[in-house]
This record gives sequence, structure tokens and C-alpha cells, in this order.
Amino acid sequence: MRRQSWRRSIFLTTALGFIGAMGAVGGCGEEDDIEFPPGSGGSVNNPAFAPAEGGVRRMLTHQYLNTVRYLLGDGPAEAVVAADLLPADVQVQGYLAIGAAETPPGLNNPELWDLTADTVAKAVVADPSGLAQWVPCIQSGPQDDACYDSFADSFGRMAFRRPISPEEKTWITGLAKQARTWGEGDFMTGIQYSLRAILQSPNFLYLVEVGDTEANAVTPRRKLNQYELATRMSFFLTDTTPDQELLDAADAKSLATAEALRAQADRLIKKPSAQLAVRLRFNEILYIDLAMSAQKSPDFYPQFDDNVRVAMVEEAYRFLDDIFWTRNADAREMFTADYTFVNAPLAPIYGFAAPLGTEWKKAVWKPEEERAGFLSMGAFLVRASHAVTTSPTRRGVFIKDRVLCENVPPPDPDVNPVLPQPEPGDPPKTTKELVEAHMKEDRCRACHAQFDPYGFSLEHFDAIGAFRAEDAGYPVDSTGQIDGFGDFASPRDIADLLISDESQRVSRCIMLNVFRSSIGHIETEGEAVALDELHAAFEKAGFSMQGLMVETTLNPAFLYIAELAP
Amino acid sequence: MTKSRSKFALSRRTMLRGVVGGSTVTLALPLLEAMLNENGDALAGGGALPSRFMTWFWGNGAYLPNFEPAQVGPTWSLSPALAPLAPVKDYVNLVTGMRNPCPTKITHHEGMCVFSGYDIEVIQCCKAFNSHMGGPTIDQLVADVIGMDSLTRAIHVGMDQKTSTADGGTTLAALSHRGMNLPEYPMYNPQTVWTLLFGNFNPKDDKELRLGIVGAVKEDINRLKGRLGSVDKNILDSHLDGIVELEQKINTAPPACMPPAQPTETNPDIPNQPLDVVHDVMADLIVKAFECDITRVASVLFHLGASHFHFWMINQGAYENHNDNSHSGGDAGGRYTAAVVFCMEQLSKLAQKLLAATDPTGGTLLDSTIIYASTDCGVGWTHSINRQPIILLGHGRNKLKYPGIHYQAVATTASDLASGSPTTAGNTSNVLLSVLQAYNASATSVGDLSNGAGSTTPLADIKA
Repeated sequence: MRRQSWRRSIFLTTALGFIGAMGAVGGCGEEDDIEFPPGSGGSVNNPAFAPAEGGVRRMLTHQYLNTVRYLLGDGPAEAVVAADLLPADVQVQGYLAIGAAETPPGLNNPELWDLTADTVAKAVVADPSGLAQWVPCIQSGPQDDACYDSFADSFGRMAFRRPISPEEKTWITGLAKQARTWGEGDFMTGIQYSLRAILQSPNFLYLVEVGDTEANAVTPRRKLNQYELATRMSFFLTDTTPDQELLDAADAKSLATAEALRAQADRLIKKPSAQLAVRLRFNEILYIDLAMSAQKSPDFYPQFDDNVRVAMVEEAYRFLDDIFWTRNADAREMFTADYTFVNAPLAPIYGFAAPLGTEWKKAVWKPEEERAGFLSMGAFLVRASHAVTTSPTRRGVFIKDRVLCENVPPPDPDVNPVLPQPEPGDPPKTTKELVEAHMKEDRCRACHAQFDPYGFSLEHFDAIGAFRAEDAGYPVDSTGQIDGFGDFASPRDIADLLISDESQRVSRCIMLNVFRSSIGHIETEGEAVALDELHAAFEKAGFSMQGLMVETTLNPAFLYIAELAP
Repeated sequence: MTKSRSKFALSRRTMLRGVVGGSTVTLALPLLEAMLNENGDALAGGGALPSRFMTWFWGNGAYLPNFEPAQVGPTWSLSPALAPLAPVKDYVNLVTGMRNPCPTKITHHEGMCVFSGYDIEVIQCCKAFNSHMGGPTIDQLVADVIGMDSLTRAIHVGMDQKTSTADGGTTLAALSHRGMNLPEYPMYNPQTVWTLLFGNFNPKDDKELRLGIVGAVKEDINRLKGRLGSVDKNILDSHLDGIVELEQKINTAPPACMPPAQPTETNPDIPNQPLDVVHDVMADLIVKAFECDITRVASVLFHLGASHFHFWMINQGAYENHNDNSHSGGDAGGRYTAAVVFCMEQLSKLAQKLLAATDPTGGTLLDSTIIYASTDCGVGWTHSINRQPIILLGHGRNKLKYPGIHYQAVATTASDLASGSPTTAGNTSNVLLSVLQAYNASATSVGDLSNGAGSTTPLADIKA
């Protein structure tokens, strides 16, 4: 039941400054000039392809914030942050976007949206320069009825992400005039109340994905319309509302060929907001910022303070940015790379010399520690441990669930999960020995054998991610084995096995995690052929993250939705 | 499914008309003596005096040998785990030994059925422990009866934010559910709770404009519903329910009551959250809201189900977290009970605040309230929902026994209590029904009657 503290996402939005020069957008493959619908592999014409249901899904809170910032400026966005009144995003199925798509709003949510909209509207009255970029007359005049019309047409279009209807124009301008009268003729009071209404309309709060029935489809289905496509593409790639250029393209119905879609995707992926969007996805997928709230024993780990926590989170972000953007490398390196980034507070945890001042430096892992990728990094090891001891089970479950996308079934409800504790006077046991008791009983072993051993491979890394040669006074035994995967004794071994996996589970799982955490549903069987095609495109792009992001927007699973039920 | 305001034309405050000095007057709350009938046991207009209801939750069960008192019936002493309830003991009705009837079990989630009388609905993918609550929880059923006559139908608060990455679905994430996949998530920031409860105290005279906004949003929702057919109908219907709540709030005059100052506590998700401090702030807000009749129903998710919180406040930071302590097969060197004691201290403080607050119609707020407190299992390490305890605080205007009793569904022994699967009897949903009847005497059932999870038999022993 993970809640997202969206205020923490502010930390994410402000720490982007260090991103190095972006690598070229890679792996675009051959130009695809077939008419819409695109699909080089032909899944779109495969009768086995059945797209998922459309419907309405809420913007995530950080998407709301980004949208307000883009549409109305920094002042109103900061007011949203300060008020902290948006209902929190809550995960379902392990993803916030699925919660936003599948969980009906609580009874107090409309009031919270009204309170937030009021906050924004007042901030706009205080500083209308952001709004004025869409509706110049509110600042330059004349502030008259025609200006309310402009507001409805221009800002309404941006807010609802499509041209407004005559009914909508009527209520937007009508409310503005009513408020102006109540405000004794003050023009901006009209704007304030009308804006407040727009920002709590379902047309603003929800991504509406209804589409139109596709003529002559191989099986009954709907195509997202131009505006829905612009919206889905913009929120997917940049976590914010479609910009003017994208909406203009939708107006012109030009998002209709593979070439045109790819051009827009290539344009959007170059924005800083795209880097931030990817970072937030992986923050969620890898539970990176949970390292900030993990409880640790100060008695055992006095060196683990807030500076280290903050550093571990930023380490993970820098690491991913380096792979995805600076080097535009194979995304699977997030689990295999032999280096990381450290600053002064973090370096000693890993046994590195501290860089000077506030500098960050790249650090190659010590070969004898056999670390590799994110599974060796503090943010993960800290989060997937207890306050004092490690947790091979938590670490193993993460690898099965988030790295391999394999289902972890629940335990037998009658199972007794008590691990036998050492008797007083007995020699102490290592964590591995204690956890191995899971494997002694059939009912436990059935599941635990599928993930605990991954955790054993990490036993050289303690509850704060530091290397240790011993546990409970004994040399660490980090050997493990999992059927269908292999034998291993370190994250380096795990990394080697992940890359050589014949089923390509890692790359598929990266693709699925991005898909689930963005589109807002678990992939369906009907989408399998389309996602196979997407994975092939991902592979063709050298498993580049930028390539995955772009190729996803061109995939039939992204472009189509199921026919509506009556 | 919840009764939503959109289905009822009943406006707030209709029961609060009274005759003062010969003329009919409608006053905002709090009630004044002038509004009561001659006996002081009902409103002058014939309506019932307001009662309040709360649910309260702590995670991971209890070490039953230290929890279940040895004595049964009207003469009983608090056990070591329940010792903090001493200042309010007369108001405690304790139910032990009862079976939580939830048919489906995946650990911890089924414990929550003690609040609903429904089964859990398991979700197959993608987390190991993943479910929705199968039907509405008791606070929502009570809110259906009493929640329409206060400014806000109900308020839901929480403290512990150490959510588990292994759990999915909505069952553990909310103490209150309006139905399956209709969670009422708790608010964790006391400032937000303050805004929802007291933010309308000084409304501007822009009511007509706000109603205009509400009207526009309603129309937008209805237009969208038309386009979508049955897809996502539940989402838009729920949104509409919330809009109607907001509309009613706009239409209601604020109470004639002094709002408390806005709290400074925001309950950030720091490693060592001060659960007790946050709970204290929230409890004060709820008590004040009850006093001003801003709401009559509240749920408190003090501590999460299956919680991995370390009770650092009682020096457990160097040990296992509470989930581990409760799963160790015993009392974990006393730490399991110590954490339960800590939780009971907070529950006690809440009850004491209600006891110290005067009800304008006479007595204390605790006299007109029932708190229904329970956990997510009976035995922590096996997750057995046998002998799942329920603590009731307050008699809700003499609907429950006062002084309260210890009702034990079936006798036990020390070794039975210390075992993983203790003997059990009865149906905790019988307690739910007794509680529901305290607010609606004509209620005849609670929960799901098709699978044994619900009940048509109230537990008579705790009723007055």
C-alpha cells in the first residue's frame, strides 16, 4: 500500500541541474513511413491483439503540479506545494498510476481539489503573467467580455487538452461574469472563480481515453483520438500536459502517421521534463526514495545520518541519469554497471576516499567486493533491510518482483513464519543460516526457494549497504542457487546471469515496469503480441531507455483501446 | 454500497429546529439546552440526540497471554497489555476469544474483516499480499445513519506511514471502506485534517459562486459518464458522491463554535515518526469536531496492518521492528507486549480526551461515543484470526453496558493463549451488529450473509 509523498517529488524536480550533456537519442531504427496505424512487426493486424480498456484515469499529483507550473507559472505551482492539499497517490498492484486509474476517489477528494484549485486561482490573480501567455488580454487588456471568451477558448483548450465545447464555453464565461458581478465589477475575480472551476473539472483532473471506433479493424477496437494521443504521449514522456506544439499537431490531425508520432516523441524526449519523468518512474519502480524513511538503529549505525540517506537517493538518480541520458547506454546496466557516484558523506560507507567539498565523483566498485549495479547500492540495500540486520527475503523478493517481473505468491495462510531462534548459550547464527530455515519445510520452501537465495548473494552488504566480510562472527557465505536461473555468490554473478538470461526477463521487466507505472494498468493477455513487438524494438534500440520511451508511444498497446462496453 | 447524499434529499439540520420563545428557530450546532425536549433525552423536534462513532486500529495483534484478562464478566481487571486503559476502565467493554469469520486468508488482510463482516477479495497479480475489502466497514454503516446530519460525513486519519512494499490492494491501506475498491484513505497531515474540519469557519459570502462551480463540475461528470457507458462508471459515480458532499458542506452554515488553532504538526514521513505526538494532535481535532458537531464519525489508522514500524519511542530501535517482534513465536523478550501497551496508551488518551469534553446535551463526549478498536489478527506469528480481540470504549448513550464487561467467547488456558492456534468460538460480526444497533435499533444484519462472514445475531452480553 505504498503512498507517494509527492512533496518528496519536489526534491526530485529541483535536483536536475547536474545532468551532463545528453547523449544522442539512440536506436530509432529505420524510418517507418507506413500510414497510421504504425507497427512494423504487424501486431496491430494480428487478431490476437486485443487492446486494454480505456476510460478515465487521474493525473498523478506530480503531474498536476507540473501542469500548473507549465500553464500558470511558478507562483501558482509553489502555492500548490505550500498548501499540500492534493489527495495523495496510493499504489495498487505496486504502481501509483494503477491506483490513479483504478481506485475511485475518496469522498473528500473533490473538496481537496476545490481547495487546491482555489489556492491556484488566488495565486494567478496575484501573478497573472503565466496565464497571460495564453490569454494576453488579461494583462494587456481590454479586460472585457471578449477577454472572457478568449480565456475560455485559449486557456480552456490548454486545460482540457482539446478544444472546448459550446456548453463548456457557456459555463466558463457565464461563471466568470457571475463572479465579476459578485466582485463588484472586478474583472480578475471573474477569472479567479472560473479558473477555480476549470481546475477541478474532471476534464482537467482525468486523462480521458475514450477514442473512436476504428473502421475495418481486424477485431473491434477503438483508436485514441488526436487529443487523447497527444495527452497520453505528453504525460508518458514528460509527466505534464501537452504543450502548444503538440496540441496544434492534434488540431491539424497530423498525429496520424508513424513518422509524425515519432517526430513528436523525439522532440519531447529531449526536454528536461523527460529526464525527470523517467527518474520519477524509476524512483517508484526501484523504491529509491524509501531509503529516506527507513528506520535504522543509531546504536549499530551511528554513521548513517540524514546526509548519507540523501546522498544514497541522489547516488541512485545520478547513476540512472548517467546510463539513460549521459551515455544513452543499455538500460540493463542499471543492474550490471561496475561503478557508482559518491559524494563526501557517502564515500566512506563504501570505503572510498571522499571527494572534496560538495562534489560528486564517479567511483568504480572495488573488484574484490563484486558489486554491480543498483542491487549493490545503498538506496536498495538500506530499504530492503531491517534496522540492524539484513533481509535476504526482502532483497530476494525485490529481485523476483521488480527485476524479473515474476509473481510472488502469498504464503499458505496457516504457515507458521517463526524462524527458529538460537537457544541461549548456542553459538550465534548468521542471517543466512536463520533465513535458510525457510527452506527446511516444504510449504515454505515452495516459494522461498524462488527468492531468498538472491538475497543470500547480497549478504556481504549490511543493513546500510557497507561491505562486510563477517556476519555474527562468521565469514559471510553468500552462495545461492535458483532453479531456472543459476548459481551465484555476488551481485556480479547475478548481473552476469541477468544479462545472459535466455528469456530476456530483465529487459522485458524494464519495459513492463515503465508501461505499468505510466499507462496505469497491468498488461493484459491481449496486449502480449504488441508488447513482444515493443520488446523487439527496445532490443533493436540497444535497450536504450530513450529508445524504449519513444518506441512505446508508437506501439499498438499505446495507440488503441478496447471497444466500449454498452 | 454507501448511502450517498445524492440519493437522499434530507438536508442537514432538519432535526435541529426547536421552539425558542414561541417561534421556530433553526440554529447551527452545538446544541443548546433550549433545543432539547422536556426530558432532555431527545431534541425538541423529536430527533435523536447526536451520538458519535470511531474505529481505531493497531497492527500485528497482541501476545494473548498478556492481553486477555483472566476474569470474565462484570467483575474483571485489566491485563498488563490493557493497563493503560485504567482511567477509562468503566467505559471499556472487552470482547475476546471470538473468531473473526473472514473466509479467505492471506495473512493480516483478513484481520481487517473484523471491521466489516465481509470477506476479502484477493487480487492475483502482482504483490504477494493483495486484496480489497469485500464490503463497507462499520464506520460507513454508522455514517449512513448519523453522518448526514453533521457538516462532514466522516473524517479518516492516520499516523504510521511505513507502508510495506509487499502488500497491494486497498485492504490494509485504509481503515474505512465504502465498499469493495472504495477506500477512504486516511489523511496523514494534521494541517489538512484541520482544513477539512475547520477551514469553512469563516466562509466568504461567495456561496452562490461555489455552488455554480459545483454545478458545472457535476454537468461535466455527467457528460463524461454519457460518453463512457459502463467503463469507469464506479470512478465517476464516486467522484459525484464527493461533489455532493462538497455541495452539502457549502450549503451548511458553519457551527457556532470556536475553531482550534491550526496545528503546526504535519507528520512528515521521517524515519522515526512520533506516532504518539501526531495521534495526540489528531485526537484533539477529532474531539473538537465532535464538540462542534462538525462530524460524528472518525476512523484512526494509528498503526498499519502488518506494520514494520520500530517503536523507537520505547527504546526498541536496536531490535527487530514490531512486525518481527510479533512474529517471533512469543513475546520477543517482552517487546511485543510493550508495543501493544504503547498503542493502548494512545487509545486511552483518546478516550480520556473524550471523557474530559462536555457534551452540550449532558454528560461527557465519551458517554455519547463508541470507539471500536481492533487489530489485524489474533496471534501475530501465525496470523490466526482466532481469538481476535475487540475493545469497545464508550457506551454511546447507554447502548452498551456501563460499567463495561469482559466477554470471553470461550474459555482458555495459559498454554492455549500462547499457542499459534488458540481455541475460539462465536463470530466477531455479532459485535459489529450490536454496535450498529446502537445507532440504528432496527438494523437486523451486518456484513455478508452468504458466506458466514456477516451476522444476524447481535452479541447481547455487551448491550445495555
